[in-house]
Amino acid sequence: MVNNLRGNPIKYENSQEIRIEREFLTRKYLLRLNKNLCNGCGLCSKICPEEAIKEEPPLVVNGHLEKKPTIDFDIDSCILCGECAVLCPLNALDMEVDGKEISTFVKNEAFPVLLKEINITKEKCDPECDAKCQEECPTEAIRVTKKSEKGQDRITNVQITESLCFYCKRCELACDHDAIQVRKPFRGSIELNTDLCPEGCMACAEICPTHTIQIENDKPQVFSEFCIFCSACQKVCPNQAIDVSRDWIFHTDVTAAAWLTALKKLTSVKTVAKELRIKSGQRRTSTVRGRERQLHLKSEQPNSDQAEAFLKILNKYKK
Amino acid sequence: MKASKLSPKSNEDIRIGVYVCHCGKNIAGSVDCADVAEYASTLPHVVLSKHNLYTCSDPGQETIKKDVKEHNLNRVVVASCTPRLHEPTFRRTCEEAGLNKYLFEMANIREHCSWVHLYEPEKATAKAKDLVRMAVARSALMEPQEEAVVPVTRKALVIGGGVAGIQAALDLADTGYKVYLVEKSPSIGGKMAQIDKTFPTMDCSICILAPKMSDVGKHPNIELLTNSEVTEVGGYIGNFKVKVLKKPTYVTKDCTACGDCVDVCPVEIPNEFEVGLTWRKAIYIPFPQSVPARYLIDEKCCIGLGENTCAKCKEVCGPDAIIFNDKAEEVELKVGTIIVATGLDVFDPVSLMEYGYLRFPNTITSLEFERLINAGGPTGGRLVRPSNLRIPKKVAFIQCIGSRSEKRGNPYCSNVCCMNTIKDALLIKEHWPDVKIYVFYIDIRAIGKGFEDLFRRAKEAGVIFIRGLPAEIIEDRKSKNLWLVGENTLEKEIYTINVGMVVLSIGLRPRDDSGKVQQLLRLSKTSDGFFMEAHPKLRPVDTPTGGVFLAGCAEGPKDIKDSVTQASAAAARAGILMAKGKVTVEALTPKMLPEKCMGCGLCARVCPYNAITVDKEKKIAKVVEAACAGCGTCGAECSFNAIEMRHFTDEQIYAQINAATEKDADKKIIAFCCNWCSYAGADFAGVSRMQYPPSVRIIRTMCSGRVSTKFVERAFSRGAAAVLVAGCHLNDCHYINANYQTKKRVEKLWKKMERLGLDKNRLQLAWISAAEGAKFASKIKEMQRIVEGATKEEIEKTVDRMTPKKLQVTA
Repeated sequence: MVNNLRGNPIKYENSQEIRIEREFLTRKYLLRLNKNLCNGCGLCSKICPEEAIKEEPPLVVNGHLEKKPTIDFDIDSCILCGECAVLCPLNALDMEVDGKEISTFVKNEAFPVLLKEINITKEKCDPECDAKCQEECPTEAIRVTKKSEKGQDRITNVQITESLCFYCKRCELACDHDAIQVRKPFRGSIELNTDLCPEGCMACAEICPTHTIQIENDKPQVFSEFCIFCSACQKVCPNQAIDVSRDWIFHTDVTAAAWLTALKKLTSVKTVAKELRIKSGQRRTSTVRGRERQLHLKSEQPNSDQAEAFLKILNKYKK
Repeated sequence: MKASKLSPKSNEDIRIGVYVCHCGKNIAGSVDCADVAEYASTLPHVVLSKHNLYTCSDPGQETIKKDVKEHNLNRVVVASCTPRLHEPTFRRTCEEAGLNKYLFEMANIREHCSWVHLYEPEKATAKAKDLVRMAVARSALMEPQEEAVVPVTRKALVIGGGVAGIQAALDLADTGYKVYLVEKSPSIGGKMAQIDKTFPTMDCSICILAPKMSDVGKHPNIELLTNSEVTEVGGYIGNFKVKVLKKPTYVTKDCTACGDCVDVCPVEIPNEFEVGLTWRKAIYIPFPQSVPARYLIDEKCCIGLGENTCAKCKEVCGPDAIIFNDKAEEVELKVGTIIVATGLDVFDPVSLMEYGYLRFPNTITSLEFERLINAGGPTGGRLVRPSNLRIPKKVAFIQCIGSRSEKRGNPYCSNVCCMNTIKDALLIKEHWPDVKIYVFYIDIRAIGKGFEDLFRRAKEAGVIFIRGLPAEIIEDRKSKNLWLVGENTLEKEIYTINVGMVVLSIGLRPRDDSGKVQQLLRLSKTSDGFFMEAHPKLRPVDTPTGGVFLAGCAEGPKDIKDSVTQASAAAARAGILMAKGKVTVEALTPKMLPEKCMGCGLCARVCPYNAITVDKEKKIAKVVEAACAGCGTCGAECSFNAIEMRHFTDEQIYAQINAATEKDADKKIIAFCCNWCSYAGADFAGVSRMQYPPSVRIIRTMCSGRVSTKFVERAFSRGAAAVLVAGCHLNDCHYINANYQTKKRVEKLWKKMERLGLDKNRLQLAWISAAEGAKFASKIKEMQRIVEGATKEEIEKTVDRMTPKKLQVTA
């Protein structure tokens, strides 16, 4: 960045977080990294369009993770686009523009927001349930409040803090009453070849944020239902025994090549080709529908009210 | 003028005329000129010796011309000021008298003698006699020379598209010459395009600049190369070969400047034109009145180039003017003259912690003020406090931020800040009459036309001027108001004043990239970091390099009027060269003697201009005269005496050394100084009247690379107490890199002296620039101690061991 510019980004760092702040007269940007939540998976560094995120490698000593991998920002390159904040699977990065939580690129319609959902159907929730969901949750995203009534604890409320949720599905699979529905944003696969594991190594289990990998009989075991495909385990493995890949990302609708570039970097060219096919299919459908309505309008000679109503619907689809 | 019948051949009777100048009291004040003239008449070949009051004046010159004719003089020596000032003057006099101008020699008894030994008249006179003896000895060996005539390309290059570059380009183009205007940023206009109003007339800045910018864009004689940088400059006066790199803009000429692309670009980054107060997109136009009026893509932050894909701008571009595969283009230009108008940067006040710039939101710089109050700026002309975006009730201006301070910023005065603040204060009063304004100053400098009147108007409008800058600014955490604490030095009391906004009047400073331009054109800088002019009074827009001129703030801080004036002056000076269409190249080139050449090729290796080609088999070396700059490094390198440097021959230099060491050599320092830097530095010491011991005798060469190891050995073998070899700073050599050879040779000599058991401290090497007079003076003072410490045994030992054996036998 040029010196003497008031609007240059400034980096603040302490043991808990890194903040990048940029202030213009009429707009303020804040990109914040929570160092404790970050597990160094490096997805942000992969997609950063300006290559402004540097990864620090982990330190694995005698099969234990001495130091987790970390990331750092180069503020001379960072353009505060916020792509990293959108994609972080561990909610470690977030971005605010003028106090509102949104990424610049999302605001400018150049990047989508990931589709991730967690829903509790309260009716299915058994009040005498021992709340395994809260137990299994790797963060504190689910809070079950119980009240003691007639000598027995009964569940009065279940609250979900989505900003903490990893969408790992541990709660959904732990619930005996089928009351929770979780939709993961990433879809992919995880493969671990235990033959390549060094003796007594536990690094992957120690870094995994959702306890997908657990050590049993001195060997790591993968419970792939819980995997969120952050690929941090692949990063810390000293022997390249793990292969994590993503093949689909669920996101809101956006027409932007910037998103396709990020998608290619995170998944594969095949995935991007598929997404483009679906997009062009959607466009074809809406064009045809639009033409149908035009024909309909012309042939029928409707009265003015009807015409207006149709035009309204047509315009909605034209967008 | 050609050599006439009065120029003698080498075996003709030498008849030298010596003129010792009083220069009023400048020389006569410390040197006994009559005595020196009397002494000169006793020297060999001197047939006439006079002293007069002002030799350079008309009557003085007439005397010389008369004497040449009457007494059949064939050599003229003038002992007066530095040849860097009046050698051309007296050479013309000689030519008018019918004498070849290369038969003229000067002894510098003013800058190098009378001015630096003001309080030792006897020693100064003795030194002047030595200098005259040296000049006479050289003069006897001088020969007439013919100068090569080189054509001047009638095209000019202007580097920098601010108001100075624009004015220079327009003047040259209107005269009829083709001009290439190269500007680094995407639009011309420079800093003047950013400010709101100009003083003292309160004209709108961009309104008076835009017509000029438009003229430049439309002018048939001006080729505008924006977003371009000069990467290489070769050649010499009248024949420069310049390489310019045109950086890609990714937008073609089809751009209609509609702006649709900006709406869809997702990247938001700080806007440099608005000094970071607001954002711009990756595709942008620098400002609405840009010339050329075309958008461009900032390749540093655009995410559509290279690996990344984003083509939002391309999708909406109507004329389809966006191309992502644009490449940089290098063009080669041939020009005759170059004008450097690269402009300025502003001081960054972040380092002045007490003023809280960037810590307190309501402390802004004067440049940010210009953008806020400009109707085209980010707030539409409303001067608002950044903390709450409301108009302040009280504003304070603090002057001299980064100027006039040895420790905090730059030591010089930035010229424009006082008037800029007065203008700003009046602007505020014009829009919001109730705002209270304080100006904290050290001095108010209102020197130009109409400036004092504007100052009076400001005072009448109620602006309060307080003499005494605040020592500290304290911020009120809640309101973000600022408390200024300082001393009012006129009333002798401490003030504590609360204001809503503080404007720091930041100073001007040389551009960060001026080092690059300096290296390209081999320019010198003065101690304040701006480019150096050839002479501060008489040649204010020339540089020491022929054909290169300066204009605007590149030469020093100044306001728009002075920049425009200087630009027109530089255009006129460049125009002189191009109107003549030819320039005579000084006859300082080497003469190759094929009978002695051994074909070793060392001369070609050391030539900084690659002007020599050597046929190793035929043992012939050839020099391209037009490319040769006359540094003499080849001559010093040749160990077979196969190169004779015209007008600076080995014999002439030996004669000067011998003359200097004829008497009392053991108390003298023989100094070899290069014409462009160290000799000029010694001149500067003289001009500044810095006093130093009178033991040094300076021998001038064009470049320190001319100094052969044999010269130093001759000086020592004649009993000199110490020898100084001085040249330009490494990487600043006027002849690119010839001084690296100097360094090598002196290091070789040091090793030899150590081997021979001699004190190598007696040979000193110094890099002294033209602005470092103080360094020269202190070097001589330092060497005086070496001179005094050199014992008789040491000097005898040196004479014995440095004298070449065969000379010893015959002696």
